[in-house]
Amino acid sequence: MRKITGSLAGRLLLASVLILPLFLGLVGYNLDRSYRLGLEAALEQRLQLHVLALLAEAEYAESLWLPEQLLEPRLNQPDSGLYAYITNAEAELLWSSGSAITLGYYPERRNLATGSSSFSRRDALFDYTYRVLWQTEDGVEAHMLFTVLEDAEPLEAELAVYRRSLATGLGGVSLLLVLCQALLLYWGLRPLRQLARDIDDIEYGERDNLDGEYPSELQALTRSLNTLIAGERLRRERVRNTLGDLAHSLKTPLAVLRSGKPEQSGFEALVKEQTDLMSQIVDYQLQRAVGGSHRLLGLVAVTPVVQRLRESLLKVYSAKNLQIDVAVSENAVFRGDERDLMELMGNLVDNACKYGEHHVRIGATGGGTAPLKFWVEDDGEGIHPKMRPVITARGTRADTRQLGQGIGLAVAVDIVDSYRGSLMIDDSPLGGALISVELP
Amino acid sequence: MRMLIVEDEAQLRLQLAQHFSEAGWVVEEAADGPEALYMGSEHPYDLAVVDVGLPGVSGVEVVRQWREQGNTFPVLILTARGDWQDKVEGLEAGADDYVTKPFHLPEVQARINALHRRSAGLASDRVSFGPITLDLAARTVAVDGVALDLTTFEYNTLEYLATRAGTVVSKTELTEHLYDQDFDRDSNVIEVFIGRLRKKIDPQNTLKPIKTVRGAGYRFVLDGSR
Repeated sequence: MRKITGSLAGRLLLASVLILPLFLGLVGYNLDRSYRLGLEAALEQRLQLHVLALLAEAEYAESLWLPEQLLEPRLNQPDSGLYAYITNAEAELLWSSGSAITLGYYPERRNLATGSSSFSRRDALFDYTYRVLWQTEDGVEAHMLFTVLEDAEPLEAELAVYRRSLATGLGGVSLLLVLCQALLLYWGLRPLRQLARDIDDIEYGERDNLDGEYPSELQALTRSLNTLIAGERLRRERVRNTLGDLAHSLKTPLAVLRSGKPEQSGFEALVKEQTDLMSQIVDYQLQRAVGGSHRLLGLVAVTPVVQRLRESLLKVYSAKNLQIDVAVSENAVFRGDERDLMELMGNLVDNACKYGEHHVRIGATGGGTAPLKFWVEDDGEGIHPKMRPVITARGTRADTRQLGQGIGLAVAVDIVDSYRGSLMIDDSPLGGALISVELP
Repeated sequence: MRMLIVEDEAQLRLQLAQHFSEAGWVVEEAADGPEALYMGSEHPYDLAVVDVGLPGVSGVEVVRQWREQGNTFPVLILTARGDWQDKVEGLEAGADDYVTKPFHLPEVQARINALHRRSAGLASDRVSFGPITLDLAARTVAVDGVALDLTTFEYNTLEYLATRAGTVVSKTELTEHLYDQDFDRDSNVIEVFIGRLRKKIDPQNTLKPIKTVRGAGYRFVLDGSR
């Protein structure tokens, strides 16, 4: 059961297999009932005709008379299945047909108005009784009940044949319906199977994204999947590039080290310088690989992150007696990974604390639907205008950076890039650098 | 000056321990979180260096529990990842500064000096008491501009007393903070050291910077001392 309800097709088929018999049963019952009613109405009509024929053949002078041989042969032949009786109002038998010999006296007393008839089934016989008032030429009035009985067996037999064919018909129809439904399901669910195959193809690298024609109901899903796949690919590329960059950029200091001669003076300083550079390269590339596009992530409030950073950095730079002012609007939010925000803000604020003299200011506005803007400024020496484009250039590799420049800003630029934002360096009214970031 | 180094990587722990022993610290080592927690709550330290990535109990957790127990000694954390998230978590837990791996020992040394100085309430590495000047970073002492030749123990004793100038420091406190655990506390070694120290700083016995407070300990008092 678990297995069946686990698939959409299974659920739909199970439902129709359960509901179909109910519907077909109701249809069968109604068809059977109306057919029986039709048969009985026809029988009633036929019996009425028999009564009318008897009335035509009967004569009444002083007593009731009917011919020996009636026009209807079945009334003459014993056990024919068609019987006729005529009784008076007191249910006393006046006449019975030749066929009724084996049946014995059958009619019973009943209250019927003159000129009216009754039709009913009694055991295996259908009974049609008609009450007449016979007026002779002498003016004598005689109340008589004409009863014609017909065996129910032929009707039952006919009904049985009908039922058999009905059952066969409905069975066939239901089989056909289930078959149709299976076909419909197969056809209707084909886009889902196609989607699964396409995702498999992506996994095997045979296609890049879900670019096929999908039904409108699936398009929201395929859009999200495409976003996810694109993000994943970007991340993969980033990791690949990082590894490439890492290998390449580590080779330069390694080569320098290898060609250095231990007996030469300054070798120790050279080793320190080059290992510093290598450590910086590893740090920088690791940070780059961590950041990435996270379009599917939620919203992160900026205020708590800035407050945590402020507390932490006040501790680290306690010897400097720093004043860190925060002017972050309460509803400023960042759409992405909290780690990325912490990393981005951490690097910027740390730089400001490092290079600032006593005063650092942090501000932020917007976020959510509007772009998030924030800025960090200090009262240090600032960044020379000539250096600014070098720092903010995209994809500047760690080994092309000058030693001691610090990787903080480079990491910040990378994170901003990965969120398709922009980073600007200006002069702060405080006297130092003003770094402003805008994230869409 | 008693220091606890908590680092699970034996090679690095040994390097650090060796470096700071040579620099005049009394160094003790812990290789994992539970050991660090035990040692931090049992012994008085003047400073601790804690690696964040410890097996068992993380370094951040160790620092947090120390702080909950009321330990106030400065803590420097060593982090390998260097994410700001990690740094901030460490600092929020109660650490005072961080160094990212890989590091150069002089950098760690500089951070530790700064923390040590900060915990002593000093703004600069150089602190003067009348004619006596201590350089906490270089660990040197000069009287009237003439450098003195002190042993590590003598320097530590002087620094400990001088940075707590005006307050009485008991012999027990001195032994706890300045000497190894296996030091014989009943001996009169302390008195011998103090005697030698007095002679070296003040051969003419005119300054008398270290006073003996009978039954209580020693007190550093000199013009210019706070």
